[in-house]
Amino acid sequence: MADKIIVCRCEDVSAHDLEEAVNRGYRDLESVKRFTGFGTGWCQGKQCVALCARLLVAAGGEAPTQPITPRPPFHPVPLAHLAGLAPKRVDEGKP
Amino acid sequence: MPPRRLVAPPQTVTLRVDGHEIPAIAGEPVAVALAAAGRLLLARSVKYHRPRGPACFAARCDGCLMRVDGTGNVMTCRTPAREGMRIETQNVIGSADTDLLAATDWFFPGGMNHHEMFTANKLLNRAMQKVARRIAGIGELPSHELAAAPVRDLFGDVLVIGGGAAGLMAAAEAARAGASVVLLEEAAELGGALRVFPGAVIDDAGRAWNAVTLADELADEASRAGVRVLTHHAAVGVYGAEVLAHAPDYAVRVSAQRLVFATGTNEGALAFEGADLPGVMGVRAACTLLRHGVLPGERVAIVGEGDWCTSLAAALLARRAEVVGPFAHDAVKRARGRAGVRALEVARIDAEGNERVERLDCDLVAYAAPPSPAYELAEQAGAPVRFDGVAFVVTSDSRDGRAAASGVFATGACAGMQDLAATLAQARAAGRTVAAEVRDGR
Repeated sequence: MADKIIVCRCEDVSAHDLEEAVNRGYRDLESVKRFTGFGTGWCQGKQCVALCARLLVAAGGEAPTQPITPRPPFHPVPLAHLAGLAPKRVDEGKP
Repeated sequence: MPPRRLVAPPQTVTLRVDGHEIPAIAGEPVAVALAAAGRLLLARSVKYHRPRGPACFAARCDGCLMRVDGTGNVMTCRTPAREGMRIETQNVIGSADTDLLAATDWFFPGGMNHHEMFTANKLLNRAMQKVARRIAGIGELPSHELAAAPVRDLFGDVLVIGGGAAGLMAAAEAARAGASVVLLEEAAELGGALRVFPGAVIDDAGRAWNAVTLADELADEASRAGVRVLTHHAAVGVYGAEVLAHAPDYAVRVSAQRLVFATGTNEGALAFEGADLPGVMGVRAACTLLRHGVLPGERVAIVGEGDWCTSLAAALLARRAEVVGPFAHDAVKRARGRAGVRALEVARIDAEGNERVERLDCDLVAYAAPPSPAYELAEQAGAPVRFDGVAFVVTSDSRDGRAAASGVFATGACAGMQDLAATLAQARAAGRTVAAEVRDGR
């Protein structure tokens, strides 16, 4: 049997998964993303979203008018670095 | 042969990688040091535990995530090497080379449909969830408690995101026109694609440059103009009027009246069997290794066409590596190998017009995929993004990069500019426009 063709490395989504989504009636990019999970990993689609959009069109899906919504932070950030962003403590009423 | 250094490094530090000592040049990316030591297999994928290595060396993929000094999921392609750093493979049982969890890949040859898997029986489903949580995974929590890092707050009239040709030009021009300008660049060095392109380019005055020389020149001009340049600062999100950036040891919050996105392109991907094997990487990634003095392979198969492919091939030949190809995207059947690429299978049409699959031994496959503009940050700031049939592109005015959202500009390759001369001309106009708007209080 042929090996998988991975189209989204971060979430291990295969070309077969994309085609399966289209066959089930998910024809737009956002729905295919939600069904397969492509573009939802580390890179938030930086590597794969254009490829997946092209494959979706080739599989008979809709040509996208807009991309998926990448979620920030767009680069892994340690929580310790975000912890420092906490707003200054409000006056707790102490003298 | 795995990648190796072209010349002996001048001054080295020692990394402890899964218990082995590996030499590195102080400050070079950890993933580059590992490649120079012959190691491209750095990680395993989350679901099927397939072997993974860096595909981009530019923080755009999953191939270099490791545990560094007790903190998981660190992008080692952006982590400067320091003496005594402890680097560990994460999310494996065994080692990166022989991960027992890779059995998952064999159990699910057709892929996994989570939506309906083990859903018929509640108890079975609960048991499988536990197993799945152990198998899938992205490392463990830090081994020690981390103190909240300090936050730096920066203010400027103009914030430029991206220190490639477009960003440097826009920043320098805005600063020369009197604006206070902050520029964030996520890599250690300025220049973006120019920094790693091993060939000649032509600027907007029709002058030919060695790409790296032009990168140096643009960086010098920005700093002479008084731009506050911050390398190793990755912008990670836009929150109202503030942009959050991440440096190796702390976070930075930048407030500015005008945002200029000059984020360039992500290298993109191709779909073929084995495209996710370690040793299969973008042409820019291979050029990045060369830029760091590391020969990416002894026998390199090149897939795709364009300046990057021809310049990479020439640079490899000049260093006495062998080059096979270039091959067209649709001629590629599959990349073969277990822990790393060993061969590329390509289709050839013989004299009788029949397709014949030929197996070519190689230790690296470098592909040129259609570049994918880095629209993520600009879109979050409100710039419109369209699909041009190949990739998503930020829509902005071709003359000065103005996007529909107020105060937001996008210039250069992220806005679909294809060549350097056009990029520089647009970025120059963008810099002037933002500076004039700030000056006039618009």
